[in-house]
Amino acid sequence: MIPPGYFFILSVVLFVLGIIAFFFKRDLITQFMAIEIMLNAANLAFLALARSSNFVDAQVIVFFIITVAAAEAAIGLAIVLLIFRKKKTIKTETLNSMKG
Amino acid sequence: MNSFGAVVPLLVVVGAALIVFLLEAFLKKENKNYLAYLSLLALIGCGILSANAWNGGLTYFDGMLRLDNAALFLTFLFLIAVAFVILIGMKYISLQDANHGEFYGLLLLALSGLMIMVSSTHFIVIFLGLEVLSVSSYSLAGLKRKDDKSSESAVKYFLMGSFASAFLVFGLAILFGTAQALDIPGLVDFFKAGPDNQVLGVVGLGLVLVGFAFKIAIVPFHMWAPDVYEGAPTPVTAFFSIGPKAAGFAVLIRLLAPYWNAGFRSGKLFGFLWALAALTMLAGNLIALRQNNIKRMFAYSSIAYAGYMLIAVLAGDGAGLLFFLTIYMFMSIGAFGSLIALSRKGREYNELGDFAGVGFKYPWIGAIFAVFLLSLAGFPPTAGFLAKFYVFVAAVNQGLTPLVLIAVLASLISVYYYLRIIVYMYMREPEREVSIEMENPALYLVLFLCLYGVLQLGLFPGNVLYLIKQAVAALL
Amino acid sequence: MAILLFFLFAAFAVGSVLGMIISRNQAYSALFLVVAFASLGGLFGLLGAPFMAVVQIIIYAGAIMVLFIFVIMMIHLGEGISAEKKKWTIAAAVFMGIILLAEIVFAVKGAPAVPMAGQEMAGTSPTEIGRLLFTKYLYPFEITSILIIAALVGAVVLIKKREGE
Repeated sequence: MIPPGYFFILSVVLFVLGIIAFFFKRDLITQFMAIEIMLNAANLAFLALARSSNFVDAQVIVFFIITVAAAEAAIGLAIVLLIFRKKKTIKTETLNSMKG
Repeated sequence: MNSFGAVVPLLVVVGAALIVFLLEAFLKKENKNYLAYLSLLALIGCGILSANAWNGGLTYFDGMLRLDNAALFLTFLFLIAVAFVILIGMKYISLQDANHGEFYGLLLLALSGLMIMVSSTHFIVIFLGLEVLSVSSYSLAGLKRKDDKSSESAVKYFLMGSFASAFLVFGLAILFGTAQALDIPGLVDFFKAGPDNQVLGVVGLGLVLVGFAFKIAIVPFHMWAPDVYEGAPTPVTAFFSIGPKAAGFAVLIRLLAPYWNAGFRSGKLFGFLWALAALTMLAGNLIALRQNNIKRMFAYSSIAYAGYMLIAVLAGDGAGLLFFLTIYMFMSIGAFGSLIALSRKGREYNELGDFAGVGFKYPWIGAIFAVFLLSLAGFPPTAGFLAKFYVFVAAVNQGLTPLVLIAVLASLISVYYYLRIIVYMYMREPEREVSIEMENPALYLVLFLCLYGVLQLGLFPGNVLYLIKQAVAALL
Repeated sequence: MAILLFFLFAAFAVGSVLGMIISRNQAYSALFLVVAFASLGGLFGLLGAPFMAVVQIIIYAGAIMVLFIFVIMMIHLGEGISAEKKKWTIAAAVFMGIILLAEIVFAVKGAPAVPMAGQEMAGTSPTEIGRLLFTKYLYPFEITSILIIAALVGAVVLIKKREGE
């Protein structure tokens, strides 16, 4: 049996990598991918930290989070396409029409 | 009432949204107003159904749905706010090239998200409600599809919003792992028991709070707010300024209320929240000073207001917070409504320079706007004064005098930029031609109602305070 | 054995996330992400949640990433992603195809030997999850339907072309 702590440490590593990717990348799509990684890390943490008494609860919650991620993907990619149609690029540095 | 009966108010709102989406496909462009009337009807229906549950204090689905008075009071607040937003938006969306009937449907869905959030004590339900709210808000922000600013507003809101959601979810995972529960009573029991792995639990709670701080735009998690507020269609901005904020604070007091009388002010999180409140008030008001775009200025002002509300939370003053939110709703929607009044087809006047001489050219709009500005600045006898006064007094009674001093200082700073608009309206010669669309009865109705609210609550707040007392009793 | 699998999947997950960060081509980033999600699915399996492992692969790697790749494709429609066909890719494709075929043959032959439902670890079967979804978690389950409607309509409003545009 693998200690659950291993899984938790892995999930923290993935979460931090997601945050790094979010700030490191400069285009909307990969930034959004970084957010998906963070959500996945959270899913892993949910399953890793659950005890056997409420392991099923954890799975149901992960199920909900996957649904949320899918809904966010739908709306997020629509917004990315909207931006692309206007600016013909999805680089974040072009999003500068508002200042102050 | 059985559990089906308990969700009927929610179903009315969601059902109306679905009918709006369906009718949108068949209605001609000039008949879009019927969708607004239908939505208003649904809001009234939902209000009547919710009123039946007042003082019931019933819970359903193991506490996942909790119709206590606090939830119902906030539901009424949201119903009024959304009704106002619909009314000020009716003309706006056809003038500003955002004439999609989905505006009403998405607003109703966002409202359902707010209702879900405030009427639950289970974090999974709160999270899902928050996502319903956020997902509808992202597309509401981008509704002016031909406008670059609106699209940018949508994309920034989306990126920062889902980034914050990820923090929230990770925090929930840690909380679930340590406390083995995600309902607020279970979490409270866990933290009160004080077992060994509490450090991890506090880390989880911290991440959850960071997620919520993003959503209610508390400094330093506010970066998205100015751009989103500036770019979004103005009625939607009015909605953003009150809806998500009120729901976020509702969750916060549900979570913290059990500690108010149990060592809250010596806990680990207290200092953290104290610093955030001070930072939020000062930074929000200071940055607002150098804004020339009024919408952006209001964005920073709304950030600063989140700081004042945080004082109410720190002081353990639930009634003060609800009173503050109620008054802020009237002030904020009134102020944004006045901005909408200053617009015509395809053009909005949001720059400070546009306001020069408006007070004489359009005396009624100028005067009403001035009252809202004075209220936001906190002058008596408007409600804005009373709101701040109650919160500050409660905070001083709890020994938070330094924080109140900072808050008073921040309020004084804010007087400058609110009065600057009034000075422009009444003491400057107009620099450019401002001609506005005058025929907008729904908007004037809302302006009048908000004015009434601001004055009534400022002079005779008794009735509302009585309701709020009943609402807060459910929390403690 | 299990610990070896854990480190294998963990290495794959972390490695492909790093690959995603380093890669400059969005299409490659997306493919790296598919690998990451698939290995996370494997980790879910190791944790004793086979159902979630399958859901993870079907929804994330199958649906969400396909959506990503579609959008990336639409964005790069003008320039196009150059099709680098090297000899070794053909060889690799043939090799993988043969492995897949063998796997399917073994799977079909061995199917009757797999333990049937009822013998699995308590609390991991889809039945349990389904029961909880429709009893304890009925309310949030219904809320997800509102969420999906909001996402669907929101996406359509933003993207759909109206008459006269």
